[in-house]
Order: sequence, then C-alpha cells, then structure tokens
Amino acid sequence: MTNILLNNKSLEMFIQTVGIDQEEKDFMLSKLPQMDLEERMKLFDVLKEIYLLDLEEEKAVARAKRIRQG
Amino acid sequence: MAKKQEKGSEFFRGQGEAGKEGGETRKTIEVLEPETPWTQDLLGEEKSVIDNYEKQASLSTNSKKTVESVLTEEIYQVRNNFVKEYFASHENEIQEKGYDVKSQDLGYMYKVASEMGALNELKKDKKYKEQFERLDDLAALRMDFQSENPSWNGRWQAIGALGKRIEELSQEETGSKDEKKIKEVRAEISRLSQVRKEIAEKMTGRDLKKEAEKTIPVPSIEQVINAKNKREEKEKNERKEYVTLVTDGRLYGLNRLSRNEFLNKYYPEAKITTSGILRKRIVFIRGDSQQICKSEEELNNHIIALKVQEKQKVINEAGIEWYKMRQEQMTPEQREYEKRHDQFIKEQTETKINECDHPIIREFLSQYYPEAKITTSGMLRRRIVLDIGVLKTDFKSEEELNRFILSLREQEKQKIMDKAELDWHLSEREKDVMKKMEAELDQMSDLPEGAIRENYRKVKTEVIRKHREMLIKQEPKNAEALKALEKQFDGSGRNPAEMIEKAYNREGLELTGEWKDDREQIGDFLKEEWGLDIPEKMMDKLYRTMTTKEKQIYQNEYKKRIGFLGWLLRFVFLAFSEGVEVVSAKPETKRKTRKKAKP
Repeated sequence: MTNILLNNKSLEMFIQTVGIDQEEKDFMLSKLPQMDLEERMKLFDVLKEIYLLDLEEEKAVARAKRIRQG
Repeated sequence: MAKKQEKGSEFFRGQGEAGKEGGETRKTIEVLEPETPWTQDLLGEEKSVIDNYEKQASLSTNSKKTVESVLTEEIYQVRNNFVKEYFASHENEIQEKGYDVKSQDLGYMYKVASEMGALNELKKDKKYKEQFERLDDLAALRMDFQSENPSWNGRWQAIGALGKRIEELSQEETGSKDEKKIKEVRAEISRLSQVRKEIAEKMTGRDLKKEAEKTIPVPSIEQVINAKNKREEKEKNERKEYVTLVTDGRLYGLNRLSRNEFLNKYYPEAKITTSGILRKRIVFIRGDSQQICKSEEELNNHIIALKVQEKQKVINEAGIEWYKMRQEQMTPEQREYEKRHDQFIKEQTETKINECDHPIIREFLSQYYPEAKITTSGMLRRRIVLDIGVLKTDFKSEEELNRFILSLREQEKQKIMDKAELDWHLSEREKDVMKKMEAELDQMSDLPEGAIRENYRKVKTEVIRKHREMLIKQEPKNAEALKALEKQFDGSGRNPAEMIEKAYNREGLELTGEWKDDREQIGDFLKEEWGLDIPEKMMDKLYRTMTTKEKQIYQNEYKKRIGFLGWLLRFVFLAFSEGVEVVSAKPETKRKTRKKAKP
C-alpha cells in the first residue's frame, strides 16, 4: 500500500497545482525523490499553506471587486 | 384587517434613519441588525491565512466605526430594495396572511418578509443571487471590522468600499445646488477620506501626504513675485499692443477732424454764441453746462481738451475690449482660478492695506517702525536724520523726510500684497498635494486586485523561501536510501489539493467538538476521502498525544476551518509517524451520504 498523501505521484500533482513559479516547482520536484517521510510532511505543509493562500487569493480578489463596484 | 404595524420591536433595532426613504443626510446606525444569515466563509474568530503572515498596525476605533457604518448603510439599502421587490412579487400571499400590503414602512415590510421566509428565498432563489452575494460580502466585511483587528483583505475591501461611497458623494455634490447640502457632503467626503487614508497608510506603511508633497515643490517668495511680475508685464504689453492696434485708426480719424467736424460729430447739441455788452465773450453751451471764454484761443483750448477726453475714451474702451477678449479666451477653469485668486488676495489684503494707509505720516512710522528715531545733525542742526536700525538717512527738509516715509508706506503695502500672493500659492500647493494624495487613494480603491495579488505573491515567496533554504542545507542521501525511498513512495497518486479542499469545507462532516461524538465521522472521512485507515484505539491514542504533547486542543480548533484542517493534518502526520497502515488510493466504497455541515 502506498501513502496516498505523501507518495511521489500525489506530491507531484500537488506541486503542479499550487500557484508558484515554475522554477520553484522544478526545484521541489527535483528534491522530491530524495525526501523521507518527515521531509515529505514538511513539504506537504508548505504546499497546503500555499494552496490555501491560492484559494483565499481568488476569493479576496473577487470580493474586493464586488465590494468596490457594488 | 391588516395586522398592526409594530414599530420599535427588538427585531428592528438599528433600522434607524437608514430605513427611511428620502432622508436628506445619512446617519450612523449604532445598533446593528440582529441577524446576519449570510456569512459563508468565516467561522468564529478566525481570519484569513494571509493574516498569519501580515501583521497589521491596529486601526483607530473611529476608523473601524466609520467603515462599519458605511457598510451598515449599504446593507440596509440592499436589504430594503430586496424587501420592496419581495413585497411587489408576493402581494397576494402577504394580503392573504392579513398583513398590510400597502405599507411603506420598511421596518414593518422587513419584518413581514422575514416572517414569510423571504430570507430563505433570498439565500436560495437564483434570481436574488446578486443581492444575496452582496449582502454576504458586506456582512462579512462588517463582521471583520467589528473585530479587534480587521484582516488584511478586509482592509483592502474597506478602502474599496470607502472609495465607492466617496465617489457617490462626489456625484451628489456635483448634482446639488443647495449650498448647505454641498457643505455637508464635502464634510462627509473629507471624513471618509481621512479614514481611507489611515487604513491605506497603516496597510502599506506609507506616508501618502509626504509622498505627494515631495512631488510638488514649495514656492519661494522670489519665485512667486518674479512669476507675478512677468505675468503682469506680459499682460501689460499685450494690452498695449492691442490698444495701439485698434486705436491707431480711430485716433487718426479723430485727430484729422477740424474743430467744427469734431463738434458736429461728438457734440452735435453744442452751441457757440457771444455775450456781454460788446459781445466779446464767447460762450460754449453744451446741454446744461456753459463755458465762457475770453478769447477764441481759450475756446480752442477748451475744445482741444474735449478732444483729448474723447481720445482717452477711445483708449479706455480698447482696454476694456482687450480685457473682455482675454476673459473669453480663458477656459472656465482659468476664469475660476483667477476669480478665486482675486478674491483670496482681496480678503487677505484689504483690511491690512487700509490699516497701512490710514494713519498720518508720523503715526505710520511709529506703528510700522517702532524702533525709528528722528534726530537732527549738522552745525545748525538743520539736517533731519531718520534712523531705522540698519537704515540711517538724513534729509534736508521735513518735506523730503515725509516723502521718504510715504515711500516706506508704499513698500509696506507691497510687502502685504507679496505676502498674500505667496500665501495664495502655498494654499494652492496644499490643495494640489491633497488632490494628488486623493488620486493615489482613489487608485488604491480602484485597483485592489493588483495589490492583493502582489501581496499574496510576496507571502507565498516567503513561505517557499524558508522551505527552500531548509532543502538546500540537507545532506544528500546515499544510493541505498534513495532506492528504499523510491520503493516506499511509489504507486498511483491523487491530488492532495482536492483532499485538502474537502477537509477545509468539512464536506460530509457535522462536527460537535466532542471527540467521542466526532471520532467516527473523522475516521470515516480519513478512510474514504484521504485513503487512511486508522483503528479507533489508535485514533484515541493519537488524540491524547495531540492534546497533551502537541497542545493542539481539538475543542478549540474544530471551530475554525483552517484550525480544523491544521489539526487534522497534524493528526494524520502523527499517525504516519506511528506507522499507521494506509488503504487504497481511490476509495472503492461509496461514502454514506450525510447532510452538508453548516459552518
């Protein structure tokens, strides 16, 4: 059985989803195969944080526009 | 019979003036409406993720209250419009239930609409989508501004909301002719603008006034006077050129006229007769006036004087023509500027110039040059010496001294005029500074998207930077370890982004905050949505570790979206560290359906 949250494929998908520069993504992808469980958990935390910021950013932009325009 | 309209019930506290139609001035609503059924994305005291990274200076109570009242007014506006729409489309039902369908009292109308389930319709019916969304936005932002420290995003939104309100007020100001109303509107714009400035400056750490001041130089007295002299000189020359141009022909014609031609043209009613016993006196009669001349020469001189008067009239008329032409050539803004300038100079100088002109010569000297001393010198003490500090002058006579004092008076008056001119330019500069600052604030109100995205980018970069530094520092693993890792983390995958979103939105979870009640739900969620199978005993063990060692208290965190997600991830990671077995990548069993959790 594989760890569905932290295996290579899942984390690759996660890296590609978040809104950061491709250069940063490539760096993370290059380091991923060498990461052990602890390191993957840390990476996951970072990606989770960025993903939440992504979601929040879209909401914030939409709401700011709506509030301004009325 | 229509049901009695209940006014002042607790339900409508805070409806206040904003609920009335056609109110001249908007008033602050102190008590907020008792229910806000429309805050979808906030739970408890939680703010946004970005607030963990963006520490904001606290806002003044006045700013928070002002934003709150602007939002409250708008909430009432949207809600009142909805209520009116609801009344119009539910007329029969309202009547059937015995309510007064003709009522115009918005408080009453809102109560009736609420009792008839209008709020549910507002929430669910697609035709009210925009109104609901707007109420949700406004209510969420207002809730944010009721908290101790409004969020980073909320502050941006408030700058936008204030910008919108300022724009509306500016339109009101432009459209109004009522002086009192204009004054009130201007005061309100200025008040809101101050608040907008405070929020913007605290958010960005900028000093917008100083920035604007840097771009507009402070005029010096020399610059102002030079510019004024140049302008006046230029105008004088233009006027002279124009007057010469248009009067040349007219004056030439006038000069060429003989005495009789001149009199016939300009004084056709004039008569020349003689009087006296010997009829030696020549009388020039013009209307009621008579000029008695002793000789023909005297009469000629008198007529020449009249000709000079006529010539002066021609020149004066040309001067007026030039002035009118100059006015016509000006843009309305230039005319307005000149009018305001002249008014300002008049207000600043009139009294002072009068005060300066009023005293007799010696009084003037003692008032304006109190240090001045007048003595005499010379062998016969005939010379008069005036000593004004740095200036010591002697005069041959009293008259000469007086003429000098009069010239000092002229200088003093010029100083008053020059000072007023400088003050005018300084006040205009202050206005330009304020305008520039307002334009900057308007831009901040209009373009929050760029600023919001830029800040999120900055925060994300910072989050990555720390992690990147940590990765760079790590020792490379040997081939054997890499092979083991490859094997350990091989296999098909699933994008964790979806899994995170489900946990953030608590899809299928109805949490109570009690571990015993929630454990099963969380266990099912992890198994079905995240592909993790954690036995109950292990869950309890992990829960205890979380509470005692990790100090992550479930009862606190479950109340917040981000808090719960963070807690859940830590819980799962602890399970990984304990070697909990994972199940398949894609859950094969279909989840039992639960009602969607209410936030």
